This record gives sequence, C-alpha cells and structure tokens, in this order.
Amino acid sequence: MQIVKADGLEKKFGSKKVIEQMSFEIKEETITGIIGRNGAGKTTLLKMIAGFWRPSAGELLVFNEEPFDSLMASANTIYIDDQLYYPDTLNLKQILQQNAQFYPNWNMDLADRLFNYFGFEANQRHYQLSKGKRSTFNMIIGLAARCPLTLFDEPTTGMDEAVRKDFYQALLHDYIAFPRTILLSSHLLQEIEPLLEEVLLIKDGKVLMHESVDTLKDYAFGLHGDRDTITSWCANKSIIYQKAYSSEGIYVVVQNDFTEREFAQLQADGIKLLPVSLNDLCIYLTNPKNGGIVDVLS
Amino acid sequence: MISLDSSKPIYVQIAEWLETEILRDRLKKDEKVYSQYQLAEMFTINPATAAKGLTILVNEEILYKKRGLGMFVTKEAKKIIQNKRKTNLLEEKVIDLVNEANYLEINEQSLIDMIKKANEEIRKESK
Amino acid sequence: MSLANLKKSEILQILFLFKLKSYSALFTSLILVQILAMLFSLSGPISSGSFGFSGPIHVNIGYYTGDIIVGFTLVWGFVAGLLLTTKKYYMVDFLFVTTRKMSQVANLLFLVAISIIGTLTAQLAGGFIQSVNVFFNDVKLVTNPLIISELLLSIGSLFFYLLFMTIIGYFIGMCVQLHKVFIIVLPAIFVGTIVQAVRLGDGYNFITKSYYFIIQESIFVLFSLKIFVLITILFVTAFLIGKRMEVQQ
Repeated sequence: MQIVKADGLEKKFGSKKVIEQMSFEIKEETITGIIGRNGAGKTTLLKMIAGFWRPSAGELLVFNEEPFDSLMASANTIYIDDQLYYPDTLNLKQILQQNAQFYPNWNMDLADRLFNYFGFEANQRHYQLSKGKRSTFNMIIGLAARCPLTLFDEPTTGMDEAVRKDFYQALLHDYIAFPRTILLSSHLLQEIEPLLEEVLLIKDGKVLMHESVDTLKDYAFGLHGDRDTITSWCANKSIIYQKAYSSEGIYVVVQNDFTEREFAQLQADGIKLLPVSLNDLCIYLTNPKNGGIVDVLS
Repeated sequence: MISLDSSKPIYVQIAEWLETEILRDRLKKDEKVYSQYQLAEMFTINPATAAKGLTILVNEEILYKKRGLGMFVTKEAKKIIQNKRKTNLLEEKVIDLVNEANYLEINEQSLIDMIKKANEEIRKESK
Repeated sequence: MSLANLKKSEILQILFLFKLKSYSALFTSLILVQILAMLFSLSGPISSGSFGFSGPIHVNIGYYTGDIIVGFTLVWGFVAGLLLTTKKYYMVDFLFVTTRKMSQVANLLFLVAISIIGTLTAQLAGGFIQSVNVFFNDVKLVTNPLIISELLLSIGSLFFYLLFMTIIGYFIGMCVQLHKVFIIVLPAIFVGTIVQAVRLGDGYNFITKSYYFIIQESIFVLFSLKIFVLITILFVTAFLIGKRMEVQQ
C-alpha cells in the first residue's frame, strides 16, 4: 500500500512556486529521508502531507485521502518539528496525557521511560525548555504517538551528539517494535543514513531522485589523478562534480555506468577510484548549476 | 561492536562483518545467526538494510534459511568465504600492491623480498 | 499496520475538554476582571448605572451597581473570542487530531461554555455587591432582585449578550486572520458608523434604528431570536473563513 502519493504536486506562496511538479510515492513501513538544501521545499512538503497546508495544484493523497481537513489522516499522522507550541498552562506531563487522549496508538509506557531517561520533570513547562531539550521532548511525543505516518522535520535541532545517538537508537527500536511509515528530514545525512531505507532528494521544489540508499551508494564514484587522463575518460560520461587541486591533478565525481573492463583499465592508467559518501553525493547533486562557493569567491 | 564507514554500502558491510564472525569461529556451522532485527539494533541500521546483508549470504550459500526459525551457517560457509576472499579481496590487494610498486619503480624481485620479510616478522610476532 | 478510525463525536469531546483545560488562563482573567469591577463598584458612586447595557429592556440586568461588572465581563468575552483565533490558540489543535470543521465547532462549544460561566459569575458578583451595599452602605433596594422569573430573565439576557460579544470577537479575529487589512478596516467601519449616527442626529436614522431593533428589543423571546440569528450569521461566516485557513506557526 502507498501511504503518501503525490502527483504533479505544486505549492505557491504568492507568485513564488515552492513546490513544483512533484510526483512520488512512499511505501508502507519504510523510513525515508527527505534531503535537500535550505529552501528546497522540505518543510513545505511535510506540512502539506501533515494537512497543515493546502496544495496549490496537483494531487496529494495520504492514506488515499486528501490530508487537508481529513480527520482520518489527522488521527493517523503526527508532525514533529522544533517550532511546536503547546499551551503555557499545561506542564510536560499534562502535554503527554493530552496526546494520549488524542492518539489511539499512544504508548504511555514508552513515553514515561523516555521522559525519565532524558531527565524531564513533570511540572516543567514546554516554553521554558532549552532548544535541545524541547527537540528531545517533541521527539518523545513523535515516537510515543506511534502514528502510522510519522513526520519528523529536523527533529534533532539543538540536540547534542549523545542525545542524537539516543534518538536514532530509540527511533529504530520503536520502529522495529511497531513498524510504521516515517519521513525524516535532516541536515545531518551522514548520521541518519544508516536509519534510512530510501532517500527523496529535493532540489528547488522538485524531486531530483527517489532511490534506495544502497542504489545511491553505487550511483557514482570519484576519480582522482592526472587531469588529461581523467578528462579523456570522462568525455561522454555524466559528470556530477569536479575540482582541480593542482595544475595537472583533478578530482571528478562521475555517474557509475562503467564496465568491469573499464574499471581495470582506469586503475592501470594510474587513476585512483574513490567511493563517494551519500552525504557528499547529495551535496554535489543539489549544488546550484553555476558552480559552487569556490567560483563565487575566486 | 564495529563502526560503519561511509564508503561501502551498509548491507555489504553487514555481510562482511558476519563473514568475519564465521571465519573467526564465533559463528559455527549450523549455528543460528542474528536476525535482521537484531542486526538492525546492534548497528542502529534500517532492518531492510540488514535483511539485504543476510540475503547476500544466503545467495552465496554461506547461510541457509529454516522456515520460521531464522538463518543458520552452512557446513561449507567457512570454505566459501575463504575462497571468495582469496579471489576477490586478496587478488585486488595484490593488484594494488603491484601498481604501487610500479609507481615507486621497485622491481619484482625486491617486492617479493619485501613480502617474504613481512611474513617472517608476522611469524616471529605470533610465536 | 491498521489505521485508526475515530468517531467525530469522540474527538469533539476531547477537543472541547482540552480547550477547557488548556485555556484555564481565560478563567483566571475572568475572575480578575470581575474582582476589579467589584472594587470599582464599591468605591464609585452608587448612581454609576450609566455603563449603558441596561436601557429600556424589560429585564433589569443592570441593577445599579452591577453595571460595571456586566460591562467588564462583556469586554472580557470579546477578548476571549478574539484570542481563540490567534495563531497560538488556533494552531494548537492541529498538533493533535482535528479538522478545521471540528476545531471550529469545538470553539463554538467553548465560547458557549465560557459565556455560561461568565454570566453566572457576573450574576454572583452583582449579588455580592448588592449585599455589601445593603449591609455596609445603608442602601435601600428599590427593586427586589430575588424574584425568580426576573432573575432568570436577567441571567438569560446577559448570557445572550455575552455570547454575542464572544462571537463578535471570534468573527473579527477570523477576519484579521484572513487578511491583516481588517485590523484597520473593521475599527474604521465601527468608528465611521458611530460618527455617521451622531452626524445624522435625532436618534432616528437607519443606524440607531437597527441598533434599537436588535439590541434594545424589550420582549425577551424576540430579543433572543434576533441575537440568535445574528450569532448564527457571524459564526457561519467565521466558520467559512476558517475552513480554508492554513496552519501557521
């Protein structure tokens, strides 16, 4: 079953198109990373899926219903980011209890254990928490709600590394205990990569790629060595990124459509083959067309 | 616990880790191996990725499935892994080594001498 | 994975109770406002019945010193209605389970509930002031407030006034959420109307007539009916605005 289905999805703010011609499907019980630069449209997309914002054009279905104003979609979806606001009159414990009332799958035992583990106190107020603590608390809600569709938009903002690691562990543990569909946007792709099954790579409001993590790992590799040799090798290959590091040396990231024989030949020509991390690949792919920061600065 | 590096696909690293466990006799023949969920928790990775790692080993007949019970190490597992590593890993490394030697203009005989010397030292240390 | 299918009535109930609990600050402010009004009533001259919500209604809701309390309560109701549409309050439902329709129906229920509470406490405060005046200030009561039917009429009409004020607040708030230009437009219309009414003079122009027609209706049943129609029009309009509104943070 497809949990989220977008077809020609579009969102405009005024005359500015933030999401453009987006089409993709999210499979049931997968963890998908929503990856893209600042302003690529990640939050806009997630907020439309959450039913907060209305698409300007195209189709968006969540559990086969339009999420904007669907009670069923609302009851089965939870959206977590670092801007959540809870009434000042409720303390942390009461916020958990309130969530328990609304969400049918809410697991209070899990919530309580995480609550105590991360050192929260019942009578603390949400608005008094530090940035990292607030993210941690929101994350507890996102996990304990056990919604069939769970949306995390930059959930680790402000968390220190130890807490982030705990979060990943908790997320994975509870995902195994209670499989659900999770969409996760984060700048820290390197950290969340092991959690992901799929990546939805977004650039300028469009889907650049929607692939499994393993496919992306093999998608490209780097060539390192003599400029002329590499240039002749890459004549009719699609180059993703290149950087000269001396007058005759160059590093080129190229799409992987080489044969075994070509690989052997490359090595014999003295070219070093280097794997490209998913993080780097996504950065290269989402680079603006007219070069990177180096071109601006030089 | 091993740490994952970012260069190889995670499922390949999982498969290699299990192979090493078998080579070191930490997993013996007909012994049950970790489930995809155990592996997922051990390495904090997506269970689908862990399953892919296991599937590779099943396809290479290093592991076999028992319906509803899980996966087990085959009798030939160790041998298969040794052969595979010999052809894939070792041969690759030797090619690298020879390439490197050629850049440094070290002739074949000196390279062989170096290998002999290294081997002697390892033997000495293990005594 | 199985999807939860919740009953609308269930969610509505949870939403309503949630609002009662989380907006408790509104009740604190109600008490403060009424205490303040009581202090004014005690210290001011007894003839301060000029606060203006009594008029020639058959029901005497504004016993002389009760007027300030009623006035303050009505202002509180207006602000409460307005507050419900602000981003902070409007957004919060969507952190849980809701739709725009359900959220607004729950808001209406909440406004009815606080109007009932506001009416009752205002009535009690008024009674308290009277007793204080009778006991300490040697004031003689002209009318007897303890005639049950009068008391009920008084409560009933105050309730309708208060609900009307909260809905006006809610309506205006929704208009402002729709477009910020209403922050200027609505007060301008309000002031303009009053200026126009004064300019036309005589108290017999269209504006004052409609005011008398609706607000100063002396027969309770007709009064309730008219207020009810007005409330319905205002709320339905606000509802239609809110139905299309996106969740902002």
